[in-house]
Amino acid sequence: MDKTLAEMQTGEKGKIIRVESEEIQIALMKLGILPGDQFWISNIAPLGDPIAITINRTKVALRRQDANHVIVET
Amino acid sequence: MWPKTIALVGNPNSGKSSLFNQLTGLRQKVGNYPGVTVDRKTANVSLGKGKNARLVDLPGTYSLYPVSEDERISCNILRDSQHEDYPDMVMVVADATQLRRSLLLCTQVMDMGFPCILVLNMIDLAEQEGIHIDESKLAQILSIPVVKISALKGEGMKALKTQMLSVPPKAKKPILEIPGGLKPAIQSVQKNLNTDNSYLAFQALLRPEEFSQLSSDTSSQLDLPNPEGLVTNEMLVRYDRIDGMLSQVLVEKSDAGASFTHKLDKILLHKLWGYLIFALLLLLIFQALFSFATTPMDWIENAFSWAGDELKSILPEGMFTDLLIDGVWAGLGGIVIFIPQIAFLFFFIAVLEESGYMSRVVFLMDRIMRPFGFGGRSVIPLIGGMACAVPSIMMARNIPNNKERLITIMVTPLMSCSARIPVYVLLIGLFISDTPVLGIFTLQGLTMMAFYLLGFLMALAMAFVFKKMMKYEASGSFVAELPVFRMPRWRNVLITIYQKSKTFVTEAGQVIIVISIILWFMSSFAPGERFTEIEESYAAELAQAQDDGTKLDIETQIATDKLEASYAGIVGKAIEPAIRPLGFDWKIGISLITSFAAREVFVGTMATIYSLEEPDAEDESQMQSLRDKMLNQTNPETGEKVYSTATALSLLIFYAFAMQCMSTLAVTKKETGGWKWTLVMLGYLTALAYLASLLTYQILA
Repeated sequence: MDKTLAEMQTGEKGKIIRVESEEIQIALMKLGILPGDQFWISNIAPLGDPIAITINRTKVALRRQDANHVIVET
Repeated sequence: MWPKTIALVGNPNSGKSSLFNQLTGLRQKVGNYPGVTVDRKTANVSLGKGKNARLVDLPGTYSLYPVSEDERISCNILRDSQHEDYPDMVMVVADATQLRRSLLLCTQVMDMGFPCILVLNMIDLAEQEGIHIDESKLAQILSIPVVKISALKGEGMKALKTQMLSVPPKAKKPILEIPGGLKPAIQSVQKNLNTDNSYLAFQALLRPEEFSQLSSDTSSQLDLPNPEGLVTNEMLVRYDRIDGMLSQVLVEKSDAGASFTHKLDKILLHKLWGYLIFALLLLLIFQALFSFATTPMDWIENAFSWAGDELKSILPEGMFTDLLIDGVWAGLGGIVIFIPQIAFLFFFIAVLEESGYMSRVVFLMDRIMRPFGFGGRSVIPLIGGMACAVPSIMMARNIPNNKERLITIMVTPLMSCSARIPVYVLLIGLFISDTPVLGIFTLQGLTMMAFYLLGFLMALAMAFVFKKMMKYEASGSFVAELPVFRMPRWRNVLITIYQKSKTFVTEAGQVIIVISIILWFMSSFAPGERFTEIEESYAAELAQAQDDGTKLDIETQIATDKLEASYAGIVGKAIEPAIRPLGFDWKIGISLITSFAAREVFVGTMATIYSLEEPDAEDESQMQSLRDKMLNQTNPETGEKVYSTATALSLLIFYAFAMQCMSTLAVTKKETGGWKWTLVMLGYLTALAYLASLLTYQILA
C-alpha cells in the first residue's frame, strides 16, 4: 500500500517509490538515496519530528514536513 | 610534471580532515575565506624528490550543486580557474563504506576536467563491515588512479604519496552526456565563461545565480523552464552509471556493520534517556568551563601579574613603563586568560563532532529550537554562554545555516556568564536579605537564580525578534546524515584546540589590546597637572604618617581622587545626566566605563572610588565593607541615600543585559567578519539595558 514516509511508525520497513518535491529528491540523492531503495524507520524524535531512517548503511534524519513528500511502499 | 596545487574534495564525514592532518601535521595555515566564516586550510607539503605542492582542504560537500555555505565555497573554487586555490589536481576522498554517493561527487569533479585521484578512505572499517572493493577494476573503469587508505591508522599513505608525485591524465570521456537540445545555450555560456569545459557551462546554465563571472545579459537569456529537474536528471544518469560500476567492483555482505550505532541510538535518541544524557553532557561542559578551567586561569592571572610586577621593578619608572605593563601587558593577560575556556569548550565540541554525537543533538533539539530561529547546534553555544560568551561565540561556527549562526551569536551574550557573578554578589547583597526560603534556599540565592533565568528568557525573546527581522523561516527542508558512531580521532581533536586558541589570540587579540590601552589611558591620565596637584596635596600628610596602615589609607585616598580627576572620571561625570534617570550617579558612571573591559572590573572600580582595597569576590567580609560604604553614600544636594533598592535592581538589570565585555565584541567581529554585526550587537544590548534599567528604576523609585 502506498503512503508517505511521515505516516510510518518506528521499526516499520518500506521502499521509496518516488519523491514529490524536486528539492527533497535532490537532497536525498546527494546522500546516495534513490527511489527503489529499502529502508526502515529507526527513530522518531519526541513531538514526532524529525524522523530518522536507516538506509544504504547510513542513517538520515528528515523533518516531518519533508517526509510528507516521500511516497513509500510498505 | 608534478602538481602545484592539490585540492582535497570529499563528503562531510569522509575523513578528509584526518587525511589532511595526516599529510600536513601542524604545518597547516588556517584562515578564513573572505566575507564568510568557513575555515580555509592550506599547507605546503613536500612530495619527496625535492618537489613541493600546496595542499588545500576544501570544505566538505556532497555534490557540485551547493546548498550550504561550506558547499558554496568548495564549488566556487572548483568553478573559478582564477581563484588562488584553484587546483591542478584533485584528490577525491571517499568514505569506502559509502562508495555510491562518493562516486556522485567524484564523477562530477572528473567531468569538470580535473585530473583526479580517488582515495578510498576508512578501508579498514569497510572491510570489517564485509565490504570489498576491487580498486584496480574501479581504476580501470573510471580511468583514474584509485588508492585505498586508512587516514586514521596511517595505512596506504606511502602508495598515496607516490601517486601524488605526478598529475595523472584526465579521463578521456565525460560520464554525463549533456542533452542535445541544450547545445546552443551551452556554447554561448562556454564562450562567456571562456572555458572549453561543457559541464562547467552546464552548471552555469542551471544555476546562473552562482556564477558571478557570468555577464548579466547572458544569464537573463538563459531562463530555463525547470533547471532543478535537469539537476535531478543529471543525478539519475550518474547513479545509473555508478550502479553499473558498483555491480562490477563491489562485493558486500548484509548490512550488519551499523548495529553498534543502532544500539547506541536506541538510548541516545530515546525520548527520556536521550534528553537526560544530553542534559548530563551539557552539565559536564558547563562544569568544565565554570570550574575546571578556573585553575589554569588563576595560574595565568597570577603569572601575568607576577611578571608584570617583576618587570615594573626592573624597568625605569615612567609613562612608557606604565603603558607597557598596565596597558599592553595587562591587555595581553586579558587575552591569554581565555585560552583554558576555549581549549575546554573546543575539546568537547571536537569530541562531539568527531564521534558523531553532534548530529544526534541536532536530531533531539531541532523541533524545540526551530520556533526561535535557532538550529539544533545552537544549544551548546547558549549553554556555554552561561560560563563565557567568548568561546561560545567561536563555537557557533559549527552551525551550518548562516542565519541560525548569526542569531545564536547575537543572543549568546545575554546568557548570564561567570563574569557577572561578582557584580551580582555585590549588588544582591546590598538589598536582598539572606532570609531562608523553604529551608534549603535563601532569598539571595533565588534572586541570583532569577537573574540567570532572566538572561535566558531574554535570549529566547531576542532570538525570536532577530528571526522576524531577518525574515528567517526555519521551516525549510532539512535532510541530514546521522553518521555512524566512531571513536574520536584524538590527533584531530588536539589540532582543533591548538588552531582555535591560536586564531583567537592572533585575531581577536588585536581588538582587545587596543581597547585595553584606551581604557588604561582613560583611567591613568587627567588633563593638565591634576595628578601632580593631587599628589602634592597629600604629600605633607603622607610624610607625617606613622605606620603602614595610615600610609595605605592615604594612598587609597589618592587613588580615589586620581580616578575622579582622570579622563574616565570626566566621562563618568559627563554621562551622569544620561544615567540619572536609571538611578545612577557619576561614580557608577565611571565604573560603567572601566567595566567595559570586563564586567567583574565593576567591583574593583567601585572599591577604588570608595577608597577601599579591591575586594576578593569570595571574601564575604571584604564585599560587606564595600557594601557598607555604598549604603552610606548620600547625594550631596538632596541628602538622600544614593543606593536604594531601586538603584541596586536597576544596576543589576543593566549588567544582566549590557554589552560590558570587550572580548565578546572582539570575538564577534572576528566571527561575523566585520564591524556591522558587532555594532548591531553593541547597540541593541546597550539600548536594551538602558531601557530595562530605566523602566525598573522609574517604576520602583
